[in-house]
Amino acid sequence: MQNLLARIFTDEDLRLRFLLEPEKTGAENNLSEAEIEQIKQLLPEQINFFADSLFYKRLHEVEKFLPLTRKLLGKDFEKYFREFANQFVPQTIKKHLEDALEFAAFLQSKKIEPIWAKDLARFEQARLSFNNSEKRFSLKRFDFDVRKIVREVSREGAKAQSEFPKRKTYAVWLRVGKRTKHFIY
Amino acid sequence: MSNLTPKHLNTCSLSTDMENLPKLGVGIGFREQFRADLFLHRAKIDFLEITADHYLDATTQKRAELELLKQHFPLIPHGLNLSLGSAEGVDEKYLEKLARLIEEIRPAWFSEHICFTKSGGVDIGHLAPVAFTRESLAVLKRNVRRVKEFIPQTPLILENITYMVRFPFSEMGEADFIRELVEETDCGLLLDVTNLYINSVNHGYDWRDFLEKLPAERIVQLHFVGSHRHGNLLIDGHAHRTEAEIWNVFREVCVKSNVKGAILERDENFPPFAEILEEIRTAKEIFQPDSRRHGKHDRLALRRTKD
Repeated sequence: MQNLLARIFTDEDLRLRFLLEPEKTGAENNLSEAEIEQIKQLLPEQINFFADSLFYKRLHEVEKFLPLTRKLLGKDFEKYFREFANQFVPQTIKKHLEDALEFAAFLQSKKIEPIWAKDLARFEQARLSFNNSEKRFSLKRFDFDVRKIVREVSREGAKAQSEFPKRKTYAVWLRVGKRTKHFIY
Repeated sequence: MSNLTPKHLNTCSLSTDMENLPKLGVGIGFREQFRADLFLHRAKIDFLEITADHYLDATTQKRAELELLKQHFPLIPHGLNLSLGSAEGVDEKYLEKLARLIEEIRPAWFSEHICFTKSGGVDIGHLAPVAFTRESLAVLKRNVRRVKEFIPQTPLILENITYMVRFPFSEMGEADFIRELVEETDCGLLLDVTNLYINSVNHGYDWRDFLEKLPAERIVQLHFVGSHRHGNLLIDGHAHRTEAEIWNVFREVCVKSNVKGAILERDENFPPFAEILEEIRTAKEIFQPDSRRHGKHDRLALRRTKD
């Protein structure tokens, strides 16, 4: 029963199916009749509340890791993250970090406006990855002027796309002793 | 690092004398956001609770942080992912890493939760409740005993969680469940008074009745922090100041039990550090009027033991 519960809490589609057809879903997941009778007793509103709290906790942790992307995308950040969360389950001890890195990668495959938001996500991903590694050097290439983007989004939110023309930029992260630095040019 | 294997398989027969655990005092859960303030006000914070998972597979930077914290504070590791309630058993690779961390820190005790966080390859991402059944009890007892095989020398204390999902087919009340669990596994109790209060409001029971059923002599440590309302429900967001009702629970526990430590568990919505210190001060006044003196004596004793 725990296996099914874990999936009900984390898989939106399965949860909906279970709440509509608990016997069928229970049988499909190899529950005994006694277990199906037990699991049917759980209140839908409690299951939904807990599942929502899990999603929002996961979302909130990733927002902390990708704050500029969150700021730029606004409500769309949650929309994209919900789509991502239904497809990906982190496996490592650092699950929220793993979520953030994979989510930033996921955004690259989406059609997002403004288009340079993807570079911003990749920048935050690269920074996050470097800061949580033992690497001494990292170099990433971007299609837009990511230095200007980071500065503007940090300051007061997104500017119109026309203000960020395509311009190849490179970001370098260095670790010297305990200190880390990054340069964008 | 050496390969750890379960050792001292018979130590489960030794009884843990909770009474002789050191009285650490009142502290906070370590959060990077107030690291600077923490060191500035070191004398006012008796000990720190660290999230064990942050220091497993740690980077050089995190290891340096741990070393710094260790030098200045007694540390209590608080685990998140042992999933003691998992019927499939505990993750022994994770357990080995946790055992190494505990061997390094040599804390007075370490803590985990009465919950499950993963099952069938799915990581739930947070603490999910177990049904209060004989079957769940058997699972928890088995898993706790396995943990103790890997970590035989350091007492384990178990925390009560908040839960929205109730299992109507539960065979006993939560307090009786917890009592049997800690007594039969010889564990201590990390009583989260905020969680207790929240559950009592959300599920309609009297927290005093609950408290009566718990083994007072096994309450080793407390967690406290404020809650907030979401419609008719109270939520443990770890984001607000401790409110009066929770202080009442805190006070009642301190009267009934010789608690060894209390941790303010603030995770979000960080206020000026002066507010954190004020809550710690309030806790100390309730915890024991001369708690600061006792706390320092025990901290010094702990350091001498470690040296």
